[in-house]
Amino acid sequence: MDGRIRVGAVNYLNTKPLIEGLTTLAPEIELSLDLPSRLADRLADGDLDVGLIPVVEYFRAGRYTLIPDVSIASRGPVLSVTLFSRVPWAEIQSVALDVGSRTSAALAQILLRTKYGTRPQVQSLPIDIPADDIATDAVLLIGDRAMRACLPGFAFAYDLGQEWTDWTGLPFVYAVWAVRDGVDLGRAEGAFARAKEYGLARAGAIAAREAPHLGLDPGYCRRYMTNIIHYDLGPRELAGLEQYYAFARDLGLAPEGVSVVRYHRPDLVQSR
Amino acid sequence: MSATIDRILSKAANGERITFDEGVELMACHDLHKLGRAAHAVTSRLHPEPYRTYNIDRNVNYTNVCAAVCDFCAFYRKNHDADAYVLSREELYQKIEETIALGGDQILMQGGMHPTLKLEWYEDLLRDLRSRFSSVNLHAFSPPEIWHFHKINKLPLEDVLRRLKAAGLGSIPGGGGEILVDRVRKELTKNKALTDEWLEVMRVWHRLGGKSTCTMMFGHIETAAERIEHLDRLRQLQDETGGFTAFICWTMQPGHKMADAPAAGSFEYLRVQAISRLYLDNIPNIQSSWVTQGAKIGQIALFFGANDMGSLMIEENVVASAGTVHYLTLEQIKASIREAGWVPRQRNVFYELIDERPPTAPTAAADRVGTTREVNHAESGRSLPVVN
Ligand code: SF4
Repeated sequence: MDGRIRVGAVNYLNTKPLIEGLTTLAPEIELSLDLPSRLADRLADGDLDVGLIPVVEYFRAGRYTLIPDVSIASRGPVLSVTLFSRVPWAEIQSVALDVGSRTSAALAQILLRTKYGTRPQVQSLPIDIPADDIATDAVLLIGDRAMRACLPGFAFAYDLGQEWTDWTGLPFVYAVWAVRDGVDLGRAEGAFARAKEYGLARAGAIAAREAPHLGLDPGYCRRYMTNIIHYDLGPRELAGLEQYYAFARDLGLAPEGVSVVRYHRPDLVQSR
Repeated sequence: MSATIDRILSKAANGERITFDEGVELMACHDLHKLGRAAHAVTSRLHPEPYRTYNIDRNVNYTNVCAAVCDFCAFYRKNHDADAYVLSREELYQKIEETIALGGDQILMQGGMHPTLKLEWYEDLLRDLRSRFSSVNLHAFSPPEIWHFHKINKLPLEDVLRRLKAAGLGSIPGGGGEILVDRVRKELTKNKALTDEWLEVMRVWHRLGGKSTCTMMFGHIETAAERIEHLDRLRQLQDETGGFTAFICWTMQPGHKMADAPAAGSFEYLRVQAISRLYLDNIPNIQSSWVTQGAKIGQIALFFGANDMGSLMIEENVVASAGTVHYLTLEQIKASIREAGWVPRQRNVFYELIDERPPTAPTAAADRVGTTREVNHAESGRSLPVVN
């Protein structure tokens, strides 16, 4: 390795605080912004060393390690992972799931099957199909798509972050920094947690810069980043992660035998 | 679809009244950002001031005996139940004294609909409290209670209200409104004022020069059109009397009796509050509902049409009985407003500012909401009207 560390993340409002200062804090980091679906593949292919990937992709790979203390999580409502439905939960017989995030898609299935005991038919909703045309009872949308879809005819809008926390009492973790096996981050190791602090301290400036592009109020964007989304990966988040893994595994949505919490440990990498 | 929505939203954002049918169109739209932005434009136009308000009051439930038996209510008891109560005067005095000590200027007094207490009992109560605590506004008796007084005392509604006013009633809370459509009311409650009765109490009170708030509790059995019908009835009455100072909406909190009812969440709350702000063009203030939504959403609600953080509720029994309650301290309420980019000011039910002197501009992290991160206020970047 030439000392460069190739890091990939998606470029959404909620990832901004994590990547804002990353390359300043660790100049050896080379940051690329990509589509969510491609990040996990690039990490698997060795095209990236570290990726901010959906939690389900982390389970599926089963061999990555976590950067400590950093995640993208909610502790209640998240507002941007929403199941729109024509009928109440228990009556949902068919559901279309946004392929944009398999983590949220699995969460929707866990809620439907494990919490509400339904067995709906599941189909995927490709990114390029307008959600307004969907014929299923319910449709899961994420991100901006969740907040910008009009969807007349859908009487219910269920916030999955809120549903999860109301049910389990735990935070829900959507994404983590995953390190490809065998990668030595060296001095860049601590940069991720420091970048989080740096980015959050500048949430106001990020909001003021990004809000006009999003067509939103800067104050709202700032509150969204500092109050709705939580970026820690503490004991409560880890418990949420473990719980989510157990449910996903039981439904066959994640492989068996994954040890969920595997931290990136530079000392072990070095001793190899 | 989207072009229609855009047209309705820009109409509302520009201060034009939207029609019933347009309101129904908006209710079908889940574009949270679009609805929120338009509602915020309206709020920013109506409230360009650099502050957002809160008040300090105490919710006192003088009795839990209630003859109305609402399906969603976990609070009421029958007269002979072991835990049925009517608060004694001493208990009331103490609660009011505590409220004053905490900087409060109002008590919100509501009860169940007690089957035997006579109007004289309420008049005595008001007179007594008025004379002891002359500076405290008695914000009391929701329309269903007043309608109930009118029925059991066999007195004209206007007489009941005149007498309560003369005895010291200061303003009327908008409780018991739920959804002001009889189909819904008949399904939810057994013995409670119907739509026209609820509105009539407010109408007569307003004609006597009184002020009141109004509410909507949604997310149960009502349809989208019924939500608009509710807003429409409020808007019509407000055109007629101008007596409503503020509107507050919240989602039904499931638990207890209607535990199976699907909970409408924060997404739905923000969406409906935004639409309410757009529809109720003649009601000046909208209160955020942090008691039911929690501090975070309560604060975000300030960007979805609300211009007020509502009350520091020192005591809240009805919502608490249903299992959902969020507590904030006064400093947390103020910090929520400050962190959202405004100066916090205390107001009374008439929306008059009552803090002794305007607080100075916020300084960084003077006081913070519990788990909220410190923010640099110089960077808060609050923007003013974005009328699209
Ligand atoms: S909601 Fe009010 S009116 Fe209905 S049963 Fe409860 S206390 Fe009585």
